[in-house]
Amino acid sequence: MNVETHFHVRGESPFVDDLPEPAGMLFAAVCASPVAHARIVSIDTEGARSSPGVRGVFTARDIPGDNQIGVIVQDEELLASEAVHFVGQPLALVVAESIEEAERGAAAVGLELEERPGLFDPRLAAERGELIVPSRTLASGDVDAAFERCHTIVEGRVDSGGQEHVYLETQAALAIPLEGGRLRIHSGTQAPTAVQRTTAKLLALPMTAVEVEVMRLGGAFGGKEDQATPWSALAALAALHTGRAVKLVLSREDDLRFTGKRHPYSSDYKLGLDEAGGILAFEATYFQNAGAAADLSPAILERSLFHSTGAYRIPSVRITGHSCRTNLPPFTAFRGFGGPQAVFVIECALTAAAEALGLPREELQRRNLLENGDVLPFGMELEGCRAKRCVDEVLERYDFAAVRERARRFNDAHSFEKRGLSLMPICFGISFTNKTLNQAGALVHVYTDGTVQVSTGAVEMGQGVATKMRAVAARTLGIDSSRVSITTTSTTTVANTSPTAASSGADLNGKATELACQRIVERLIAFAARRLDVPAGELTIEGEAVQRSGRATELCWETLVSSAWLDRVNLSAQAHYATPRLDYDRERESGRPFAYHVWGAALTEVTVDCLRGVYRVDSVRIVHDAGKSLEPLVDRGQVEGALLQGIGWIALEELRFDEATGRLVTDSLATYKAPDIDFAPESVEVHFLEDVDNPAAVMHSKGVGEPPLLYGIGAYFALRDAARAYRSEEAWTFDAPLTTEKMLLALCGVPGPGSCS
Amino acid sequence: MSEHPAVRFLLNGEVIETHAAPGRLALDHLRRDLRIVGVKEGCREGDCGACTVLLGELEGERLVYRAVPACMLLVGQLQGTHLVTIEGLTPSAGLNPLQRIVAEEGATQCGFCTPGILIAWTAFLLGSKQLTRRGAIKAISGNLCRCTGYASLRRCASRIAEELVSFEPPGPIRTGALVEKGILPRFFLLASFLPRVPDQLADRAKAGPVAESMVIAGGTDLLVRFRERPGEAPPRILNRPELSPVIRKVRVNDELVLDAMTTFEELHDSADLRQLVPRIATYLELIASPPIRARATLGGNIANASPAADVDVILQALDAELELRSKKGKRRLSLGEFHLGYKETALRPGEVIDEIHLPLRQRRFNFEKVSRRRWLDVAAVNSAISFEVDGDRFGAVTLAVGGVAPIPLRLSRAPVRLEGERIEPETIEAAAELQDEEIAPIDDVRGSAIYKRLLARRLFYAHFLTLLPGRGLERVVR
Repeated sequence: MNVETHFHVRGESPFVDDLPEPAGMLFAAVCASPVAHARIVSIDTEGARSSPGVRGVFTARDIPGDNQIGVIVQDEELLASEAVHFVGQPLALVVAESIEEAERGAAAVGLELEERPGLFDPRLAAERGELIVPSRTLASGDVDAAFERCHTIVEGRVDSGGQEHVYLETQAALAIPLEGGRLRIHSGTQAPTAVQRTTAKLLALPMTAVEVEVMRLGGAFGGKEDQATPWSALAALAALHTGRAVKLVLSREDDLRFTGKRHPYSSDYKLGLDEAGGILAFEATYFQNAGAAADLSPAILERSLFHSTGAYRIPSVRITGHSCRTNLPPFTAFRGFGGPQAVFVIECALTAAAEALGLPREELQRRNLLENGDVLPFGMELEGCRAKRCVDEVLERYDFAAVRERARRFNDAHSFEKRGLSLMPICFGISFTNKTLNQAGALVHVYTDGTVQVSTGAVEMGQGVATKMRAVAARTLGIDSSRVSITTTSTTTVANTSPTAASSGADLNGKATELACQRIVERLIAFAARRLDVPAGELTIEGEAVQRSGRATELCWETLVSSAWLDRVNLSAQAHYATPRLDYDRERESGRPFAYHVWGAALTEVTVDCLRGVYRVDSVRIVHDAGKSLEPLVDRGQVEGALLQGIGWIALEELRFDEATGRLVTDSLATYKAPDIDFAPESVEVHFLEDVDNPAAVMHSKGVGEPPLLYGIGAYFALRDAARAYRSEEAWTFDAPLTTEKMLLALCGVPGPGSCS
Repeated sequence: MSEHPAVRFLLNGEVIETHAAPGRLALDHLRRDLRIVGVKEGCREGDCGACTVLLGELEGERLVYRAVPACMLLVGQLQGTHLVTIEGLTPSAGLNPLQRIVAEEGATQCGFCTPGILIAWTAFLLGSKQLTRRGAIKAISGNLCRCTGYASLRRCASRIAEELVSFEPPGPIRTGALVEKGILPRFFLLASFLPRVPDQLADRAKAGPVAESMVIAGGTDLLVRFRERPGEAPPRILNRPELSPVIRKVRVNDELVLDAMTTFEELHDSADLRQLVPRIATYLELIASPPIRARATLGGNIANASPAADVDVILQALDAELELRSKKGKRRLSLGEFHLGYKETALRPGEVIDEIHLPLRQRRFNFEKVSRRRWLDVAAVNSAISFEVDGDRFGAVTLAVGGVAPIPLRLSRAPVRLEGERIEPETIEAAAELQDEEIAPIDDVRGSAIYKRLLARRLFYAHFLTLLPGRGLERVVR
């Protein structure tokens, strides 16, 4: 069971806004740009300063260091100084004795802005050369020659919308001044080191003067990887100036308006096949709507390139990605990190091909699945490929053929209700594509009473990483997991950490934990060998005792630990892990960016009410490759949760910005609808592949956070399958999310209004 | 703070006397003033369920508990209540049986939504009339969880239905049984300590309205609209006319009379209303979660005058009339006449909606609603119809459509085209054409005008396909 669970259900797990408030603490509120693009003529803080309860108003001028928060590209200010580039860009921070007074103060800041035209369409931005970074092209084989040989070629456009994270805990930070001008920040971030580094730079402090501590996050999903930093830095800025603790918690409305979301993509594709339905060539261009600043967009686009061919073998490929600068809040990491957008494109292309050939979609999918030894378009040769195994298990275990037949009979019997289904194989690469980030540290202390404390760089945000760290430590030390505690994540215990992201939190930090524990075990075994006067090679620690050739000795864990300490054995260890064999050359667009891939397949069944254009996802049945799971209940929860986020993205959640002003239209949970329990499929089955290993990750487990989100994409094609049973003659577009509006318009053959963003 | 009158209530096991502004959100009072932080703030507008608390109100001699969102509750409404948070439900050591199920099923990941869900399920065990797996799922329909995908929560619902819902006796008063099972702490038995409502506050609803001050009933709409001005201008809170367990609904001259303070939950359970609208419970489950239904009132919903108000559209199709009351007296007008323009009503300053009158009659009734998310979302278009059938012909017809005009619209021409005509696709098609002329949808966040026009027509057809099956009407849909 998740170590956090006990406290969660008791209501005793504090989040940033729940922590005891230091005496004299001030509350902060942000004054942000009401327009999408403007030159700042003046910011008048007088009204705010004289507003009741206000104790400070800060603008770009009050930042002592470098006013920059960009991580990949230095193109974003913490507080705008000369110009604003999106609605919701922070301009000033107001601190006051109460939240209400801070909010009134923020509303009293006078802004004189000279508006400029806004740009919101990524294709238009690309046309005008508004690119975040130079465009990239991934190519393999002779694409043009391959298209010449094709029997069938389909071409078209695919759009996918943005997605709001809807982490239930909004962005939050509490900054507390310490002695000597130092600061401690309780931050709701996935990246404590990033907060530390950026805050130090903004405030012209050494990194030693900024401590960042993270207890847990109330959900993050990528939304707190890069975009938690500004709120922590702002609270720290005010704490530095006022000498008082400062808390900044965004209201839901502000969080929705100010922070970035999943990138909308608009893409073109061209897919060529031979007579037998084998894919010969694929060409795609992604127009990634990056928003007003780089944020993580280049890395997200890179992952799109690496997932452009989905779970399929394609010999000749040419993929181009443009990261397009627009006047929208910088889009950011969201579970899947560009992978889902790319996978949706290849699945759409394949669907168009199946429709053109008059073949069932699943037949084309099966014919082109990846196998061991296949080389991905960026030169990585596949090992441990389980695409076929997962698909075959889905087809058999869930009797795909019978499900298909049942749907056909149902559709014959009903005029308006139609059933549809889809097969969705997944292939997702694990590792940060930025090689540097694939490192982690762990610090393990064994105390003299036999309890163990583990600190890592991993942030707990509901994904169960703390539980997995505990499992790794307990298994490596040969003791019961109840002895192991996981500390909060702090820059003072483990330094220079990577964000907890890219499905790699347990992989990287788990391996570091394992290494640190092994060091302690080695020392304890050496000690026990001396004490028992036997060769160390005959000893192990298992079942809470030193074992000699499988039999427990007199040295139980507690005795072992206390006597080792008396003998002056070091019971603490620090370890560092760096993923081996990673190598990618961006000049040649070739190499091995991933440690391994995660495989799986899903069968999705839906029913569409074609009279009203509404639908439900009846069931999703999955076979998933989790390796040897460290904690099956946690992994099951990750698969189920990611699945619904995927279905939400592709079939429900519509992020809308006003096309003229760039203002967020879906700016509350009343207008941005995330899945609720009634929307969730009535039946979700998850079967984990049995007897599978994974030499590339800790204890043969596999990263599990992001890959299952791709299963949700299957819902789109199941809905399309059902809808085409009602009306197949229309040319259907590929435009996600497939909302009730788009569904009804398509069912009735009515051209809809253009999609936004 | 002392300018505000004392509000006394029982918070978990402790009597609280506060002088906080009556218009302050209970959520803010709990979290910011009292630092009861097991109550989580997720959205401040009743859309996420994270701040759900258990509110016990005295009805007669009985304390009735309901899950309500603390962001839809004002300090002034806490007078004489028992408020329970997760802190109050958690045993000093270990877990209660409900907490154990949630823990064992892995139904909590980040933990932020968990207290609200546990409260909602505790309210379910205390008061639900539908003690089944489906009932347990419906009980948390208003609780957003972004982590679990709800699959593990569904597994919890199964176990709750299997393991926790046997009551001896199986009556409505389950406090004792739940204390015995360890699901509720013992202080639930000490309800006699509940601070009594001071006499001067008990009958405020029928006191003359104070001009100019905002009148608030359940607050589920108003508190969202007024969240921009926290703590300002304390609204005048309407309380129930009498704290009785039964809504005031009587039959007078073949009418069903509903008090304006009737909650959506009471409508959900109303056998009288079911006579007119057989599927009323299903519709209300589509419209609002149990905590919102516990707060939202009929009168408040009508006065809010949303152009897509579901219940308003249902009432219009029932030919509802309103009785308005002010110091000058009472007047009566039809619900259609009440709506003058966008968010503009016939309500005069100092006037409140007192009663809703529905003619009792035998008619077929159907309600249709489509929104982006099927449950708990504002309609793109909704539509309600009632009609008589006379052999193979239509009798009297009333039709109302929401989301297609500045007001919830009662149609005039389309029904007339049907009345007395043969029930056949051609008639329905012709009436649909007239509906098309009467409505004027606009592009907004709920959908494009093109879509809403198309949807209104499909829902118009859906009425007849639903209510008149087997008459070959399918071919009207092309």
